[in-house]
Amino acid sequence: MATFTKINAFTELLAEKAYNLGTDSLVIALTNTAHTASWSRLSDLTQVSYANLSSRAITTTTSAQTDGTYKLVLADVVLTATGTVGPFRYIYIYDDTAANDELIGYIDYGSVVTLGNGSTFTLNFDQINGFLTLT
Amino acid sequence: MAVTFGNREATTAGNINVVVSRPSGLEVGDIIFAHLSSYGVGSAQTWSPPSGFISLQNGGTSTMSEQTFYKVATQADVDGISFTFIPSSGGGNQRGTVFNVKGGLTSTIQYVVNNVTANNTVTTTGLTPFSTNTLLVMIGSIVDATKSSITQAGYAIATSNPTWTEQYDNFTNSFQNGHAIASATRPEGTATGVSTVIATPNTGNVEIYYQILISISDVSSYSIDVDTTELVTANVDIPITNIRIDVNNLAKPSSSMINLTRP
Repeated sequence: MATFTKINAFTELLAEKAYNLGTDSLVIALTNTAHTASWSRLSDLTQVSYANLSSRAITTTTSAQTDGTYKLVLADVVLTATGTVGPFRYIYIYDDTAANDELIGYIDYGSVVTLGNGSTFTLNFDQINGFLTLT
Repeated sequence: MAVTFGNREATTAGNINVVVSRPSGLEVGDIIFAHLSSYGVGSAQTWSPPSGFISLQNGGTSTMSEQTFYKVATQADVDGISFTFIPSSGGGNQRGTVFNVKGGLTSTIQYVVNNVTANNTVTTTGLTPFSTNTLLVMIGSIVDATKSSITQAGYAIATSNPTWTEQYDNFTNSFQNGHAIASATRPEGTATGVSTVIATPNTGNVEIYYQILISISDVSSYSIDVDTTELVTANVDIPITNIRIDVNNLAKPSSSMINLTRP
């Protein structure tokens, strides 16, 4: 199980309503550069070319609270390459609707990946416990 | 899964069917390649392959014919002892070479072919592999009626040339026919540029010289399970160290209150 690391600014940005996790479009970004603590926007990343990659959009399944616990559930994402993509190691999720495409956090795959034509990269989100909870 | 070269078998044949032994270590799912060539049959010919083989390319004239096939190995292939290819025009002086590739997908196969006459070097324009980490296989196919002891070497591509391993190199004077096979793993998925193989006969230039460059790739699947991130808000603590009691508003004790005795 890979740990999703929220960026430092996420909590403040959430409190100051930079994100609307219920309605905003969340998207995946790929980079081969390790995270820097001050990063908070998509423009901080050096992204790979997505010319040979399928849609990076994430579908929000549910965004709701039960007994005071908020849970955001995201559908799994399958990225399919139609040519070379990468190399990359870090998978970011950012809010494509937010004013500055604010980052939410990232996953360190642990090794560098280059996708070839026909190759896939799947992000399996927890469909029971959710991607994110707030209590 | 890496794509790797397996093993090869080869044979010569006259005006009969070409029967090539099964390469050792062949497994179900391997891709089997077969290359046939002939000299002196008098017309361009093709070969009827065993069940399941697909023609990748063929060419030739009345002097030389050549054809390359492939198929995915089945249990019957693994259990069999040989592959038989039937020439369409009687055969001539023939040579057949069969080799297997492991870990590749037939949907990724790319190839390019070219031929020269009276030349010891044959090049192709090269190809762009299906993806990264591709296995390149170069086949040099020669016919010559007068030269002997022809060897092949100098396998190369112009861009990001990998280290080539020669898998086979044989010319049989009596059959006027020779094949060479070399393979290499190339990490780059970019265009190869011009590919080259060079023949060295005992004298002069070889009569007809074909080169077939083939790339075979695989398809990789990566996945990652994303753990749930929990954000917890802190409990609110209210300090009680500064509570003051207004003694002027204390209620009068009632009879139900407990009387405390003086210590």
